[in-house]
Amino acid sequence: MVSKIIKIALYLALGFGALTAQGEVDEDFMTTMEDLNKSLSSNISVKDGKAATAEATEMEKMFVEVEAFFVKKTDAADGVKWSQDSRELSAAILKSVVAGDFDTAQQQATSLSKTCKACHKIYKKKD
Amino acid sequence: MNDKSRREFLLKSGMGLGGAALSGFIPGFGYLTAASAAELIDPLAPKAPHFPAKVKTVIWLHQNGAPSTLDLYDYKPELVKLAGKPIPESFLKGIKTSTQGGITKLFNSPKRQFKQYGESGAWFSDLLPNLAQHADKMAFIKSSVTVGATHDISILKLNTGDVNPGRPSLGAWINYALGSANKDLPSYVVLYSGDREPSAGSVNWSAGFLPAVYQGVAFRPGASPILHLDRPGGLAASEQKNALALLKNLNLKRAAYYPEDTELQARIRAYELAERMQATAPEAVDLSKESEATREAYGLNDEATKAYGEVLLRARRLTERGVRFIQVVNGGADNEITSWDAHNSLEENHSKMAKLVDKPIAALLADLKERGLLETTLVVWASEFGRTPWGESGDGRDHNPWGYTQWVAGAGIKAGTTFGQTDEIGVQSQGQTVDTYDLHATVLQLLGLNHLKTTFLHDGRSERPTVVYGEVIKDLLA
Repeated sequence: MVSKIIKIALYLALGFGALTAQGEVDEDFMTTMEDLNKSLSSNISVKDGKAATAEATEMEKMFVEVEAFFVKKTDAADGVKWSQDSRELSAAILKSVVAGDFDTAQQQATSLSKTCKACHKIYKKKD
Repeated sequence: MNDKSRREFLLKSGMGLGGAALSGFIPGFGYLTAASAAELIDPLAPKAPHFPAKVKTVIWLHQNGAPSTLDLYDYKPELVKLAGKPIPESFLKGIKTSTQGGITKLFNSPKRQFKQYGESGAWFSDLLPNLAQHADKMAFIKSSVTVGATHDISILKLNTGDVNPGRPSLGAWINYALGSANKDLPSYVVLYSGDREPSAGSVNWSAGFLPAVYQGVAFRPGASPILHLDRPGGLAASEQKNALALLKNLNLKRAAYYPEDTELQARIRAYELAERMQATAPEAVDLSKESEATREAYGLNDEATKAYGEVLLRARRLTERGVRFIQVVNGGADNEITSWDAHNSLEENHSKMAKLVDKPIAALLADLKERGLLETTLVVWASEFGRTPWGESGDGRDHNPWGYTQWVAGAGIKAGTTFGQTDEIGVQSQGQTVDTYDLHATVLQLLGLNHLKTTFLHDGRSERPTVVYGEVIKDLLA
């Protein structure tokens, strides 16, 4: 159910999926990611494995889009690196959640948020 | 009604916690554990930390207006050398300057002198001669960062971890997680030395989405810090007791119908606490019995330091009485200089503001140490941001959220150390930065709380003090 809601929300937020397919990552896309990240942190905290699994999976997919966006920019090597790190962290969170290790997952989710923040410092237009 | 009969009333009344706890569900609260049901009866009951605590009390010294730590602690010979010249582009990479003054030429006050103090060799400027004597008690955080370029927003973030109102302050989280260590005093007290409440307001000691009972209680400066504490003239003690008992009964009856109304529960608690405080609080905040030597040490005999010295002496007295979190906000030096916010005339501003805080904070550290309280108390020098190495209005400095200095001293701290650094001229932090979330996580750790496990369910989401961030800075810990 949660996964379905996330997918619908993403579908709407991404303008029927057309934007990210072209490597465009806009403000709505990032807002959706921020909301998803907060929800993921919450679901890890309450040990809701099903919801956290769905969200970590979505996050990993979204960071593929973010990475593609930075690769396309050609002058954003640090952005590429941060999005790769974030994708890997999302995968690690997924692995921890599936293993039922929510403590490690929460540490990894916090590292993911910190990576997001580092990238935003350079690439987000306003705080 | 005594404590026992009050509990019996709550359990048997329409609030129905006893029966509901058996079924495990109460409308408005969701599923309850036995522990959380007990919390509803006494939300300020002491609670066990996650692991043994090093700290019992935190004294949070908010340096209101944001001092230039470049002029206090963060000595930059390169800035002295480059003063008057444009800032090299390389120092500005990655920062968004939305401050009103723009980026001008680098500025250095010609009067400023720095020296190293203590075995640690920590740098202090000539503005803090008394605090410098305590260099070896402190652990400096020289890579502090935050968000925002305006005071109110960054003050909110300093205290609550977010730039939007609505989240609980750090003190409220601590109050919620640990409860009270002294049932006769508020466990979260706010002290300020200005002639009015700090401009950023009570949102900075709010309970946010936590039950309102966890919010901070502000004490006014001066001889009567708590208003209306004395029984009104013409009212006998028995009359007051009866009136309060009636009021409590009426409030409890209403609370039975609206168990989700935490404001009402907080009000009931506040009345009970106020009644107990009539006996205990006057003594707790009364400075008249302090020795002349103590009064002199805190600067109570000097108009320049008296107001701030009084609140810090009060902070020590509250520390002795088990208050968990004491948030101190400085007022101004005079009618013209109302905070550290030196957009111009930095020399005049900082000379007066440093004089205001230097002697009282040094006295607080010495006094806590002498009484053995520094072993269980954490003192934090914090500010909403720092100030830029470039000048503003010719002789001032603008806001700098990218790199500034804060410090911690006391229990559980690796004293005499420095964590992090800024670049050669003090624009940005280098290496591992310390955001407000990280400072909060570290303070919570010292109180025996894992910030990741200090949670509260709000609107279906598990919230924590550090939002989705926070890293304990282990290098600061002994």
